[in-house]
Amino acid sequence: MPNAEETKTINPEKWIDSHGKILFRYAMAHLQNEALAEDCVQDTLVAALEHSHSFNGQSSELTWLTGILKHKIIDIYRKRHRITYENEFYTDENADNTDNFFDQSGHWVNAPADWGDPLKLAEKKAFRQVFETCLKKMPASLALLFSCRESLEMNTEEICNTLGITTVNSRIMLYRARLHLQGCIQTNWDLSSEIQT
Amino acid sequence: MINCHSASRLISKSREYPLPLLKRFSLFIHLKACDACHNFLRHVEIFSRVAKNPEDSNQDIDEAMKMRILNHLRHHQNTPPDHL
Repeated sequence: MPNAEETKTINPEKWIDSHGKILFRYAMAHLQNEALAEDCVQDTLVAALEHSHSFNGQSSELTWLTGILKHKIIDIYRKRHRITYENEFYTDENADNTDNFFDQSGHWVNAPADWGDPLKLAEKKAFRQVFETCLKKMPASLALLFSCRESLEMNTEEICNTLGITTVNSRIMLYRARLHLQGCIQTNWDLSSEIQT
Repeated sequence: MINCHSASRLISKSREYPLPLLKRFSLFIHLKACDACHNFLRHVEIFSRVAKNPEDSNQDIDEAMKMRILNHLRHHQNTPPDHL
């Protein structure tokens, strides 16, 4: 149990030495840019320093720092995409704007094909590249939400609080994001290369 | 029986919260008969897996970067916040 004395001794150098590497790699993995990742880690530590009183010792120091880092990454995502949600609000669960994926009788227009072994696929560099490209192609607000949910592993409550959307909205948007990925990857991923390898 | 549009919606929702029993059952029945939706279910799992494990960069914080960050932090520590 950390006592009051321990929480008072804030030592940023110790933070960098013990957690810097993990924080930096985490930022790099999500931003793919060294300068941005460095800024992000730096901003995280500044924020941690300012709010060190809010660290209650219930979670580990790393978990606490990672939590701050996630928010810094989201800020960068936001700036990158200049997100506006205006066109993405849905109040009716069935009006989810997915008409172009299904025909009138509710069948797939472009039925999802068998892409092969999911485990192998996820490891393939070429597949990852198609995935990244497709993520960039979809509406920015959907990509941001998908990244928050799947990359940063935020739960629905965190997503709604951070992005200021409702639960219903977030579910519909995630559904649309997944349909976009399905359609885009199916069009751009060369299945024939998959069979050969 | 539910159609593919409804089934795919349930597949996506099932990633967010446990579906009610009846919906889970109707999805199960649909998946038994529909390869396309079965593939979509697998793909949604792949999307999640790929997004969760971005390629590991081998880059690390070097001494220069550490010093830059530390200097910035020290400067910040010694500067009283603006609003005070």
